[in-house]
Amino acid sequence: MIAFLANPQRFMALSAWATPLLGAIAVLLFAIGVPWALFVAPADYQQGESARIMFVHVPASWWALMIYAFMGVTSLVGLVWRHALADVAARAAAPIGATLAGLSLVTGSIWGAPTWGTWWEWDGRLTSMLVLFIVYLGYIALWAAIEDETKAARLAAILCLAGLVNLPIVHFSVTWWSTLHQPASVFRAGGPAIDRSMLWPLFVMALAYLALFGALLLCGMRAIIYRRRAQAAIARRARSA
Amino acid sequence: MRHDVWSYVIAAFAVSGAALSVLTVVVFAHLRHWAQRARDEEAR
Repeated sequence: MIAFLANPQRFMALSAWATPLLGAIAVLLFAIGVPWALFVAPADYQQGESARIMFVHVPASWWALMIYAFMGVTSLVGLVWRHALADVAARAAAPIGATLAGLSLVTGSIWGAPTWGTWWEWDGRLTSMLVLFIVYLGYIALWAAIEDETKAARLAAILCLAGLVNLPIVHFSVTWWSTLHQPASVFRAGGPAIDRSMLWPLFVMALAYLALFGALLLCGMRAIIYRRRAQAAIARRARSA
Repeated sequence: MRHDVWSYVIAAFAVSGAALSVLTVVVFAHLRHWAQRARDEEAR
């Protein structure tokens, strides 16, 4: 599949129908997930209604981490195997990951105000998530700062791989250090600590975020490929003039 | 008190919806711009 998609023309043909399909799936899942999370799922027995913020905060946090891991894999593939679309995928994923990392911080802060009595605390989870957000911004800035795309791809891939060290820090920060943030309650040894009545809408929302990520990733990749085509046409004209 | 907590919940959902909507619009606008530009440059 990865080798099949190495051809940009095949990718453009495939993404032309996959993008609207993923977009429609995202809209459908949000249409189910948002009312479910707001009005059907029960309030938490300890935190009350404020726990509903989980349904936007947790998927944003999960996918901010997973998108960075995805960028790490595509960066490695681009560096080692020179896959034609690997750096395109990593570059297109970065703004989406940065938005989700930013949303994780903002919605976490909104959740923290009524729950902890503070908007921000410099503890392990919050600080490592802020570092992830800054690494995303650095990655985007690096691409924008270097004109030579081959060089930019190589340097951005190295930065991305170096930044991978932060992912286990974010994930394990709640067990390594004393923190206000609650420990992992879904992906943990012994199974989820959340009741199914909250777990199902959480998964629907997580899938909605994933489908939206898929649609936006394909859009972003298509835009980069079109830009390269336009730049190649301009360069061809300049050479023949 | 109940109203206060709901205002935080609504704020979190509104911020998320707004940010994801803006991101979607920007990504689509970027795609439309470069698709048109590529067509124009290749047609010249």
